[in-house]
Amino acid sequence: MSRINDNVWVTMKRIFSNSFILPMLLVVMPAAPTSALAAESMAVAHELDLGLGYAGRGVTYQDGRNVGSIYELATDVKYVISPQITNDLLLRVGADWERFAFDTSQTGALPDILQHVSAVVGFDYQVADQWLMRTEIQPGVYGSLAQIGWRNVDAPLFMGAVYLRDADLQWFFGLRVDLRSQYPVFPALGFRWKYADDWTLNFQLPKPRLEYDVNDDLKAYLGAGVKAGTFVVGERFGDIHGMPALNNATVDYTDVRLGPGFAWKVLPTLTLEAEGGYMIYRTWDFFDKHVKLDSHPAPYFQLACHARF
Amino acid sequence: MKQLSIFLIMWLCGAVAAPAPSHASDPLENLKKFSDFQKIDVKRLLEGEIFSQRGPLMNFPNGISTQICFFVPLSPEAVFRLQQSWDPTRCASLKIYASSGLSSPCQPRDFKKLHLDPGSRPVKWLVEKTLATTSGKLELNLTSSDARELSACVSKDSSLNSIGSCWSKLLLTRATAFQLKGLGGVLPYEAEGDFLYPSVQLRSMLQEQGKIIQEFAPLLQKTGMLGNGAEVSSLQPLYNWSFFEANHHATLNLGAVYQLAVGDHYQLLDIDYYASSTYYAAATLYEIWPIRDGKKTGSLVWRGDFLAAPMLRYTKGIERLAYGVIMIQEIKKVIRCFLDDIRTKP
Repeated sequence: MSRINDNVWVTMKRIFSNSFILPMLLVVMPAAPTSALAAESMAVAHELDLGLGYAGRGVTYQDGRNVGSIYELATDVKYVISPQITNDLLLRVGADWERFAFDTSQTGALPDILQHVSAVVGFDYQVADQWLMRTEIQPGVYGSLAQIGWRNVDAPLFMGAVYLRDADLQWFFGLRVDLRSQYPVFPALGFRWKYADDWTLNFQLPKPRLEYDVNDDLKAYLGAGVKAGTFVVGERFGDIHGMPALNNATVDYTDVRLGPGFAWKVLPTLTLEAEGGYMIYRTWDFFDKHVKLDSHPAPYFQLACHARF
Repeated sequence: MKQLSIFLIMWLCGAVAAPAPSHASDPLENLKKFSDFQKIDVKRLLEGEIFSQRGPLMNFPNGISTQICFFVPLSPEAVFRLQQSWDPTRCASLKIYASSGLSSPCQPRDFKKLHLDPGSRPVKWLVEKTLATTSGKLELNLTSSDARELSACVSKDSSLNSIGSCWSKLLLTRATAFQLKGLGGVLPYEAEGDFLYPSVQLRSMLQEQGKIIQEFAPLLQKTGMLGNGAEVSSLQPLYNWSFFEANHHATLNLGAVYQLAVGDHYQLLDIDYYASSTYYAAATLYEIWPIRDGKKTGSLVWRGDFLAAPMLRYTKGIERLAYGVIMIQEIKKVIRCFLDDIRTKP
């Protein structure tokens, strides 16, 4: 009976997640531009990013034990409004929802959903002639949205700087700080180098790419994508999976994708992307409980939409 | 980040200069009155540092501006003479294929340096866009009438030489109209059924710069830039054209440089009133003073750059900041080439 109730609860959580969060974000989005209309339109930037991805079944192991083949559905919606405060300072305020849903029909300590809903608060600033920086903090709920408490509230910090050498070469320096993660501080270095008229090596995490300009509106690329996050599973997660130690446990989720794709600039303000390939690495790491699951490679396909207006 | 690489600002012919005054007012005080440079470290300036300021957002959505200030270790007269003979095509990093003055009235032979290199990817882009042009398909800065004529011209012979000749004819027509009527004669472009006038775009950008307009009023009034466009300039400009790479696209432009001595200092206005693609129009204002600090003498040059480009309307937020930064870097590249030439050829 308890198992049935758990399944109902899990189903409810899924329904709750899908039907509630997206409409909430969609309500927030039109509300923000309305207030911005009073200001000069050029002084307020809007960013909307939507992503939907599916990864096919990948054989998954929990500490070396086969726990079955797992598929994944990943969704991401992020909206940021960025008003210009001074000539050198832009504010960033918005919301982000990212959700990974996994097939949990198999055995194993696998969360069925990992997701976060967070605010986005930060700023962009020109610190020197050729240096721009971005600081962004995303306070929100990371893990189970059905059991919101201090345990699953987190606020990862992202800091980045770009050195604009010229139109063809820029260097990027980044830092992710998440005190809950196994790796609380994660630095990154990247660059964008347009080394030929049609070719660009856009080596920026989390999406390093080699890009080819098919024409002015269409870009083909071969790239990688890293999705990662730190979440807290539910307070009964361990009980349900026969491992009480995992109740309220922290899990680092990471997947790495590799494949070709296309980016089509449908409008000057709208870019659509489609890519497919292989998810070559995927892990759920309950690092402080010494429980780890990882998957064999699996095919994936994903669509994305980026609007800047 | 694709948008980050759009600029290559190369309206070079007006660079810097004019005859030097025999007595100079304090140039740094003058600079403070109208520019964004409220404090300049003279020592660093004289050592060769190029100071820059990204302009504020404009109400004109397609516009962006920057201000730059630098020192040239020569008298204004010497700078002027060198500028007249300077060949920017020698500086490979500027990616200028050809640049030349135009006679008045301009002649077909003025464009004899226009050659389309089949091995250049940016040139291939221009050739492809030219061949794809019809009166109903305008991906370049043209009117339907231009497009019809260009299309008819290249359909007779689509060799690179022929395409170059067709472009020469088009440039000749536009340059002639400008020489006859000044800014009032600048022919428009057509985009989505609307006419877009580069002269209107230039005025829109400049009219937002109150202090700069005031500073350059004598020059701008004589060029007709401040009026309604009907009046012909009372100054005789130097006409020019260039063929260069902008945003990895081969681009043709037509320009004019106006010069005026005002009291103890000198002003220039350098405009691009036609560009085949990538941007709509551009203007650069220069003010040049003689400067002295101890035993060191030379010229203090201020330049304000104003660029109208189609994609700027859609470029906001941090991308807009990045555009401004990159625009400054590209302009500095031009200035450094000019200064290097001065050093190597005293």
